[in-house]
Amino acid sequence: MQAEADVQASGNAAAKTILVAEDSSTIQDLLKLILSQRGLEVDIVEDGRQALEALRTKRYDIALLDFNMPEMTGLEVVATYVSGQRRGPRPHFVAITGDPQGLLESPDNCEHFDRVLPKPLEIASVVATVDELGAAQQVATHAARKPAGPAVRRRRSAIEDLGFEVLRWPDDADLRRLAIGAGEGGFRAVLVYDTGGLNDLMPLWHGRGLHLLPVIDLSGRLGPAADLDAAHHAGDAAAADMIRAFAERRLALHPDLLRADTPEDRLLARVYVSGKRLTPHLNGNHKGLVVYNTALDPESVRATARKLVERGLLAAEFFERLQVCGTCRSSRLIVREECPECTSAEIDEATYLHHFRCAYQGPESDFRDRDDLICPKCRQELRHFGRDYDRPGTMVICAACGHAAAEPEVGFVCVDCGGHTTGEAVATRDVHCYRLTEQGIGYLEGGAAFLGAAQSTLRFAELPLDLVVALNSEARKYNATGEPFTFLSVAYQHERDIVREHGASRFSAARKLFTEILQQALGSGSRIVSGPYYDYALVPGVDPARVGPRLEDAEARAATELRIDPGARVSVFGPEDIG
Amino acid sequence: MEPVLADALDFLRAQSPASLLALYWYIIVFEIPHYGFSFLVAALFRPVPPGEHAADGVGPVSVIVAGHNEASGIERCILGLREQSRPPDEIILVSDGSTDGMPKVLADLRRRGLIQQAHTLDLRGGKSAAVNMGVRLATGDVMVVIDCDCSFDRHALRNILAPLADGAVGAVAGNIQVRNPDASLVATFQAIEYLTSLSLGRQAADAMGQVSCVSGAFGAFRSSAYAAIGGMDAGGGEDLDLTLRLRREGWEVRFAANAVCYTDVPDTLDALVRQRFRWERDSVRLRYRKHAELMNPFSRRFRPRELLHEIEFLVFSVIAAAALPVYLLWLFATHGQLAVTLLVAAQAGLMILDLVTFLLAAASTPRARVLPLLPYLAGYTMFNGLFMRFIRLAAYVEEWVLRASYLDTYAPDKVHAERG
Repeated sequence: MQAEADVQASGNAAAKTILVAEDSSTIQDLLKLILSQRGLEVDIVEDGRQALEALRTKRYDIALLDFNMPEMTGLEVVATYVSGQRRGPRPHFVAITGDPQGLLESPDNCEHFDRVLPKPLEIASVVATVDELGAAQQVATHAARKPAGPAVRRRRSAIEDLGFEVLRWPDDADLRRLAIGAGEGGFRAVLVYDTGGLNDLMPLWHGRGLHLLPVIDLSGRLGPAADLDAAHHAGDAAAADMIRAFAERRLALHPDLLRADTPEDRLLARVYVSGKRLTPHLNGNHKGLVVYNTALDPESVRATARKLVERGLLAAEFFERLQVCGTCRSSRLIVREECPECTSAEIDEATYLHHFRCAYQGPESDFRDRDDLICPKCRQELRHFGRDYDRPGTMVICAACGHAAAEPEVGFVCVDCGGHTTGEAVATRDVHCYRLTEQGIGYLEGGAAFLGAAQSTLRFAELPLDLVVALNSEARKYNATGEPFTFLSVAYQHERDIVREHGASRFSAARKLFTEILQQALGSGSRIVSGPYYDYALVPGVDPARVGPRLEDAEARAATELRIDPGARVSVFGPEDIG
Repeated sequence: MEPVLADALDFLRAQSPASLLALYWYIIVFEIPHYGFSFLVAALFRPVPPGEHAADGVGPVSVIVAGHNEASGIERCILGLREQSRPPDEIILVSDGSTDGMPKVLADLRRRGLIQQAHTLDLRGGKSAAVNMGVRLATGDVMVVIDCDCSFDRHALRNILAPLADGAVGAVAGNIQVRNPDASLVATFQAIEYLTSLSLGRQAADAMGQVSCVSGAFGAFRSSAYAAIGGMDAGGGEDLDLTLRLRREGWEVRFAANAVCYTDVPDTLDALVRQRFRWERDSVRLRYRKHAELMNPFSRRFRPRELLHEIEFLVFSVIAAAALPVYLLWLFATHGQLAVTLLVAAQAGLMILDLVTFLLAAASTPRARVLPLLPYLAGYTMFNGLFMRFIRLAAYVEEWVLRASYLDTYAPDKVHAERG
């Protein structure tokens, strides 16, 4: 898939053999292409019986089984295999199904399958699952297998009856269920019945789009970090509205962002889908004294948001300045007036007395003799304020060390580590509120192409299936005969601007015209395929070097002939990039 | 003029020593002994710089700085103190009713660890009360009281402490010199004055055990001595007052010629006159009113050793000033036009004496800037011998007649009303 994933795969020697049981020949081709690219030995079978046969005759690390197969279902295959093979290592079983929720309803299934992949298959998730399971120790996984089945449900919120698939936290917080992900056929909301805190919810940020779901808090523990606090006010209607609103905004997201795997892109998409600014709330439960209105620990939010601000995708607005403990970075600090010398808070204020006649000036205690004021220097009694004496100022006297000073210092004591910092030296941290910039929204809706980035790696996940098959056969041909081919991917940088200014139809017209010009320039042997976001061209028998001039022709013609420039950016790939 | 000068020289040459004496009696009585004494002291008691370890056993040392509206210069002063070869063990700053943000500066200095204590008085109480309070809160065995606008020679603190190694010494005066001699002619004259009559004069007084004023701009006090006499009394002239009271209690007072600090002197005639009026008024008030019993042989507070500096002040300051107009009137009455020439001749003679004194003083005062001052010596002789004497005289008369020291603003009104 992506370059980094390839590197990982080549270094990953754990999973070697994989069995694929799948009756659709297109999917067979696809999986074979993808998996063998990752250095796996792939065996393909067509139905359940063959699958069982294969499992019994050869040792596999992973078995991808379509749940609904002719002859035997995936479940029957696994159950039969496992009953005959009580000991020794067994493969990781992965179910492929159009109804992952339904599959996981049955406790048997949960026991037998390590993962469930929803149909239609997304190549990214297949690869991620295979990599993950391949890296895991087989026997260990086997031994650690827990008796599955839904835990005893303590409560059931009315929100579950609204007709949306919901992820129940923590009951559903196991990897098989989380792998189902968000969106079509997946979850539509996260219902938090109980949680130890934001760090518990971290898996949501590593699943397939789970971070883009509304988090509805029934535990009362998430506070402002939840999108909806249903613990304190019943909000079925509000919940339904919110779930729909999230779903709508998810649809408006460019797929680049739906599938995003960097923390920055995930947070950015999350802000977009939530429809709100990323707003901090003062909250004493966190060391940083702040929690954001998103179910991610505030430190991560801050660090990630700062990077997004640097890239111009978020704009920061000042919210509050907090003092920070120099030792443990906590903002939970006690502020106090203290002795400048020994930092004790046990300080008392005293007034100076000035005896005019003899110029003695000192704290009142020097003068005090029960009810009288007697000058310690000349033993005269001070009787008349303003004539004999006055009080020119005050000082603070430390009861701990006796130090006298004009003013107390301000000091901070950390509640978390007990560390002390002076008011002068204390570090501060500015907390910001973040909103999406125009640039950020453009990126979210227009994808990487909006930022002008051409694709540097080919993302198979986005390719139409028939193109993958065609590409596969070209690759096979190249391997056998050395006949070259060229693959082009076209992204449109101006899509968003054109749609906004002229409407979607004008954009698709411009895009269509460009692909026609491209087709003419590349010659009749080439094949143009349009994807939902990108267009692709496959040019058999031509080396990428020779495509270059033709491409320049096409771009020159487009510049003169197209009234609306779609901002096409073409990435060129050769056999080496693909095979 | 030339024929007149020639006439005058002829006239002088024709005089016998006895008639010269009769002609220049004022100079013979009021000027020559002073010069002679200076020469003697400079010849006999060249101040020996105290050794590196002379002040080793003295301390701990608390430096007290009290100031009113000194926000701008205080930091430089403190940084200078911390550069001392013998840095203070404790620095205590007192802001005396400042309205220029000085308390903030003090708090900042304390936070930076440059000083140990910072105190702020919201109402101005005068220097005496402010210093007393600083001393009250200080912990050292020696108090060094300085003014904010002073800057110090690197070894000044070490040298001012050295005499305190002798347990009989209760206070030591520092050697204050002029930092701004180039500011104006008036400042230049004062630079010469500080170098000669003040520095050399005090060396002479020190040799005789007659140091009678430890300046509040730079003085060191033994804490026990300071406490025993209750510290400073309500000002002004509190430094002279304090010194006289220390002497009365039997403490030795010394002058440390090698403990040099610099201060800016008034650079306009007007400011100088006002300053000198204040000094002289306070001297008269303190010596002849507050401490008159020091000169009364029948008082139980009478001390024979105090007689010398009292007589010195009486003769060379008070009577000399009072006699000057008498002498000038007499000279003009007796010699008519010739008097001017005679006076010029006398000034010429005094100039030579001043030159010798100046060179002696320069030799005995460390790091004195001698050459730039030399051209101004002639003018100084006139300025100091004639003009300043009249100023002094006017101040004495004013104090005697009007008791003006009770009105000046150096100490706040509330203090004047009660000081007595």
